[in-house]
Amino acid sequence: MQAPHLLSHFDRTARWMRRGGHENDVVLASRVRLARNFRRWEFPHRAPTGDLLLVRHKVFTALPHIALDSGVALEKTLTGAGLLPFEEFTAWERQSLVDRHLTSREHIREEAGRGLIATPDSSLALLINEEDHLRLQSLLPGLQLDAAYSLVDKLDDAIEKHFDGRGALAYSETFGYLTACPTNAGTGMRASVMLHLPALEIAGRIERARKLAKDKGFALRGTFGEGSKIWGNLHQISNQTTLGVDEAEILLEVENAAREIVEMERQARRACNKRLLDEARDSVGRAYGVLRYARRLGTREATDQLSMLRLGLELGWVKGLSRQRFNELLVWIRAAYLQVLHGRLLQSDERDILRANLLRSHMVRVRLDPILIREESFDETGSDEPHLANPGDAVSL
Amino acid sequence: MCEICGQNGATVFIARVLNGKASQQRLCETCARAQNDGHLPFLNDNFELNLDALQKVFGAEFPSDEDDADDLAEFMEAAEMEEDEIGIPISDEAFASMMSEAGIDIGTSGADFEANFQASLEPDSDEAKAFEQLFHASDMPFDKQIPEEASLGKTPARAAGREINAERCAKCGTTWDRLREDGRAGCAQCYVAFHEKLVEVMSRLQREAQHVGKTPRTALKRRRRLEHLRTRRDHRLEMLQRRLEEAVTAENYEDAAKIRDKIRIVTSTIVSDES
Repeated sequence: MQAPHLLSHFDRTARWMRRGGHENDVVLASRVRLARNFRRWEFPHRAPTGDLLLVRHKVFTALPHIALDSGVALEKTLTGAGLLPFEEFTAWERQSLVDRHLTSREHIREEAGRGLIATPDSSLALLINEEDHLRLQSLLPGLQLDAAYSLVDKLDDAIEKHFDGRGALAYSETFGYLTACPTNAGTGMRASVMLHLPALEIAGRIERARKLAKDKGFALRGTFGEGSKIWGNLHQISNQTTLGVDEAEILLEVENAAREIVEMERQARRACNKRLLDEARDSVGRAYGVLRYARRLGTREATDQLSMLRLGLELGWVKGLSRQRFNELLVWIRAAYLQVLHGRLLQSDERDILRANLLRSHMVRVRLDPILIREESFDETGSDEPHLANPGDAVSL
Repeated sequence: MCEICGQNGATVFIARVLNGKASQQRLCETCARAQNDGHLPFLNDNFELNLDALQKVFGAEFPSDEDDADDLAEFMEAAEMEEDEIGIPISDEAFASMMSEAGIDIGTSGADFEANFQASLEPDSDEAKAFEQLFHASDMPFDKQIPEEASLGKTPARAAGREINAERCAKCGTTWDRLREDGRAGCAQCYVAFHEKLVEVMSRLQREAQHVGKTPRTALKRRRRLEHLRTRRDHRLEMLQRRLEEAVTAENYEDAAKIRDKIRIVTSTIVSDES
């Protein structure tokens, strides 16, 4: 019997779900990750469990010192951070950390010696013994890679001050910060931007965006890391190059590439009011129908429909829900999150019912714009069936 | 293998920086000694740092300069750091752990292993076959590059250190093939062991095979110190060369010979960062 104590470490609403940053109509969140390793121990995928435990122990015990060294603003954040050794949590609980975008699927696969330090609002996390000994991550709302980097940079300075007295961190003049995967060596930095691209999907131009990213040397992929599926039209653009470029340049390049895709998406959204009106209305209306009335919903379907309903929100067709609520729902409907929230083992169909219940309760507040409800004249399409007249301008349900 | 005789294993690695150009040599002890006619003046016969030689160069040049004592200490430190970075023969423990990883317990059953080995060396079977059998019998995951001496158990650390250094990381035993297949290095030392190969790969995959950007403070300090040493050395070299020219024009050949020797010593000074 697992108590839902994992959730007691975290706010229900993470920092990235809230308002903040730029380009919030398309960009959900910005994330910066830094990979750091100790020279002395083998990389986590190779190190014996004893060494992994030692690394984690060192980091856990060092946290108060690190917090003291990290400057006034961070100190407060870090002292409230939770220390989470993975052995203490069930597979579902660990999965719920992935659902919150706190860590990666690779990290939670094994529990021995793995762990996480995370602030309650999930804005700052220290992944221990993931692919590298340490991964410093910050996750902030909207497009604000600079702010995310400065947060993680301060933490890195404090960690370095504490551990690197005698060159304990793996660093080389040629290859920079050494990482388990040589493709991360150098700055060890991965900057990524989470993008919501439903209009590009409707316009069938998502491949073009992917190609644009690839040509510039970036990867556009799913939000749960390499090889993850794209659900709810959520994509993540991140840098592929880490060596021979400095941090500021990487941040700038990723931001510029992200802005370009944001512009593409906005263009497609404008088309949703004209050329793609029928397709867009179909998708948004369908999403509302499913979310408002369905009694069983799988994660995939719910995520996709939420995405389309959010497009309705951005187009001004859907009212009554905030962007924050959309962000929250994206996480709250995930299987592991429901599981941990309810604190007992749920069967898949039971989860589907709970998920649908949760979504219906939020959809009650949604109001639709006439554009979604009004019936145009059917003369052109030659429909001879009489249709129900539109009852009013805005229907509240 | 030794680069000169090509017969013995290489146990001495020499990295030089000559006029800003780095070069490397892997030699066996015999050849290294034979070659050590003033090129490696700071090393004595056991390849340890020779303090007297150092003092001769730096101390004698500026006998009244108090800085020199510090400079020497700094230089020594740099030289020691150098040793850390260069692949030195691996320790017995490292070898033992490597062997135990391969399923061979040299700690307790070293004698058994040897007996087993001797038994397989029956007079009727030729040596090569015996080896093959042995390798198959013990199901050793080691590849063929492992020197025979390593399994003879006479000087395991030494013997293993020779070739393993060339093929696999001395610390964690990761081979280049494995690193490439896996896409992951085993430890930080792998980056030293496979330096050239990684440079080659990185220059294709990454923007450049040279890190720019954030540097830990300790590394910054070290970089500055090395730069300082380098400029001092270059400065000294310049001065010596000028004096050599002067001596030659004055036809003072005795002095010129001495100065030339000093120049040789200074140019072979190792002020490098990574092997």
